[in-house]
Amino acid sequence: MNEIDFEKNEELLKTKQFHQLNDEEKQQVLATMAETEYIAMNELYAHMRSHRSELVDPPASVKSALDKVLAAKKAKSNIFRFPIPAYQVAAMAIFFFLIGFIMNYSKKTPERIVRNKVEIIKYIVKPVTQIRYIKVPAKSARNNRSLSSGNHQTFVNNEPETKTETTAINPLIIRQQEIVSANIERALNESNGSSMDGDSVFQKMLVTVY
Amino acid sequence: MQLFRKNLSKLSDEDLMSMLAHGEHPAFDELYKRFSQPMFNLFYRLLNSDREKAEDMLHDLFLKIIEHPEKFDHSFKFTTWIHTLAGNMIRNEYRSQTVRNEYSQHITRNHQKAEQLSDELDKQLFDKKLQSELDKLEPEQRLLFHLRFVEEMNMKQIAQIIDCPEGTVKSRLFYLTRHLATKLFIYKPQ
Repeated sequence: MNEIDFEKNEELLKTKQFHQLNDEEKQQVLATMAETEYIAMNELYAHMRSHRSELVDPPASVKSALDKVLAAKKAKSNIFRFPIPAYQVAAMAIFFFLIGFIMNYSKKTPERIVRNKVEIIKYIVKPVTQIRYIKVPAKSARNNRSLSSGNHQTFVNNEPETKTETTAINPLIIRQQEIVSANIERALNESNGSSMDGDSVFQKMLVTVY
Repeated sequence: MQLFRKNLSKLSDEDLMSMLAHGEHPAFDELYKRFSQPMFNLFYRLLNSDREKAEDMLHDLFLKIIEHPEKFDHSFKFTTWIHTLAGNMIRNEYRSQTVRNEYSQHITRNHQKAEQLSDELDKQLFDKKLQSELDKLEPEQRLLFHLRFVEEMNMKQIAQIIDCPEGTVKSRLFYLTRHLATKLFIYKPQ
């Protein structure tokens, strides 16, 4: 019996008794089952129609028990209403950590190297000494002119020469100034200081200043 | 504030399941209202009219729905899905030895009853005989009969629930109906 025949037959079984079938329908039915079988099956379908109305109701205790389970589940998931998988929670934590890290990193002030003048004042706490040999004009050497005198006097024929030129063309004075400047700069840069002994020029300068 | 409450009775079964999956528990009440009676009768008729067993099965069935609503496959109709769950539960129950023992004892009792009431020709006798014949069937056959004659499901739904082709369902249904009708016709009230 093919599918189409079954569906057609079932429709007849649900709606018509055997004696209500027309000739064509009878032929169709008898091709797949006997008359007694049709009658019996027709009775069964008719009986089941009334049988469906006799349904049994479940007891209220089942619903009560299920309501308790539902209430317990609701209380458990009150805060977190939607189930969130653990890997999503971990991903969110990592994400927020990275956000905070980037924000903190971006707060640092960028640095760049600039040139700035800073005045540093250093005080000489030790005497500064420097001995240097310099060349002087022969005239000054012959006159036994002392460089340590500091007063820039020259002696001519053993008599003091009071006039002293301070222009740049006087090599002796220029040289003395250079030496003094060099000594002062060196003294300022040396951490331990240096001795003034033997440095008549510097000694004279300090005497002059103080 | 009933104005702002959803009218759950107008929603489809699938929409109610979606609401339940999102934690809206009032949807469960509507689903239970719709399906508790047919499912209870399914268990009751297929488990040898054992009311206690049917209550337990009904509770377990809806407990599964409460605990894992997200497991509902929206590609199927909810009716098909819940009947598939119930069918699997019934199969598992039949596999247990306890049910088989009760099954054989129930048949013996029914035969004795049928013999004692053989002279009665009313509807109740017919019903009892029908139940007796159904009890002799395999679980798959009982389920098939119930889905077609009691639940009035179409062939496609039945095929999805018992997981076989529609043609097979029609063929099995035809032979099952003919077998039962033949058995019952002997005892049909005249």
